[in-house]
Amino acid sequence: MTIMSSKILGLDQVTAGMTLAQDVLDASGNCLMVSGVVLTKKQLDSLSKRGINSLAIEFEQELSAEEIAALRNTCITQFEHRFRHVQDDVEMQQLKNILMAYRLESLE
Amino acid sequence: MAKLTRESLSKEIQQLPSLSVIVTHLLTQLQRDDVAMAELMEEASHDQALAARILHIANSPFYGLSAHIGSLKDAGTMLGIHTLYNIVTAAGIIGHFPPAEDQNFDRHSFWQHVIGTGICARVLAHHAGMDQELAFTAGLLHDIGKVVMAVYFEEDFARVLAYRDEHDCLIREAEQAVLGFDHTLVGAQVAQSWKLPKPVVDAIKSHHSLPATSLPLAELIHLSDILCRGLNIGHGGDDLIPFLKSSVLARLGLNWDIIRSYLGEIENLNRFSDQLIDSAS
Repeated sequence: MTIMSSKILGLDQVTAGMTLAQDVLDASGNCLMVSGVVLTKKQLDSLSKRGINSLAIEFEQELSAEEIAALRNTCITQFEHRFRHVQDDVEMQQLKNILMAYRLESLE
Repeated sequence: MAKLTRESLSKEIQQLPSLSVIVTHLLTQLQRDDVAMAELMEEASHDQALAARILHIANSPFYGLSAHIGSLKDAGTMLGIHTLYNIVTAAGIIGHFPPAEDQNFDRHSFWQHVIGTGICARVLAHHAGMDQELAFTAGLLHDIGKVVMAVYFEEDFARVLAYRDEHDCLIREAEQAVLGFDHTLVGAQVAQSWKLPKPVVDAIKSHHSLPATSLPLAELIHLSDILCRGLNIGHGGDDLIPFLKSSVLARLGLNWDIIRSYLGEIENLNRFSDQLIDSAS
């Protein structure tokens, strides 16, 4: 499985079609472009003219079996923690199991 | 500000800033056919600050619209009037409260929790044949008492949060121990002072302590709140799950299989909330 991750690239390394991972702000804090935008050549030129020299770019990261196992463990631990006060209640355990199974499905 | 007591509560609440006229109309307008909705949006466009926030949200990449939206009317056409209703009401409520940084009660995750509850309620309301806009509104406002305390009764709320941390309990239990009442009473009184529809006031008041009589909207919010906490959507001020009242599922015509089948849709609709909160705060 893959997850979305981001890294900072110099503007010269960014090409059209890449997705912006963070808002771009100018020196006075005005938002020039919001995260999630798929960048075009025209936008990149415009950012360059405005003195922007690096961008946070989204990329897919393939996870190893160990990383997936670690994510699953974190997920289970979080569920146990949130449901820590209702361990003896049958219905609440059922709720926990349904929601946890749903969450773990996306981590297979 | 003086210490909040059950006796002083209603007087204190009457002195709080009132909600803007347009947001009040949005929340109290129960007749929501397309014509009435279009009129509401026309009215919203006169509040320039609100309209600007909404256009910023509507133009965000989440909605994936290729054309730039320049007016609320266009936003209604492009996004659908009901999606726009959600955005406008949420932006109106979030924008009503001055933003603040509080590590013990994170405002951003609080708004995520209530928007998540609203979306969950809206999706399940559709299945249960209930009014979806009312369900969203009730979810959005179900914990309004918490943010009112966090903003206007800071010292009392700080004591509540300290008690919560010390006793590892639900925020509601901490409120009852420290103040003698909880956010459901504060929220219901605020909603009453805003003249919101009775079912919404009742849902705010009863979402943790359902009466024996049938109160469908409160039951729906009770369940939606618990599902959002279970799925870790936002943070309502504590990281515990309240007990689910067992009769609720059957009363709403739901069962676990049906709920399971809606989880993906609920989470998908929720993806817009981050952007909405950032733009609206």
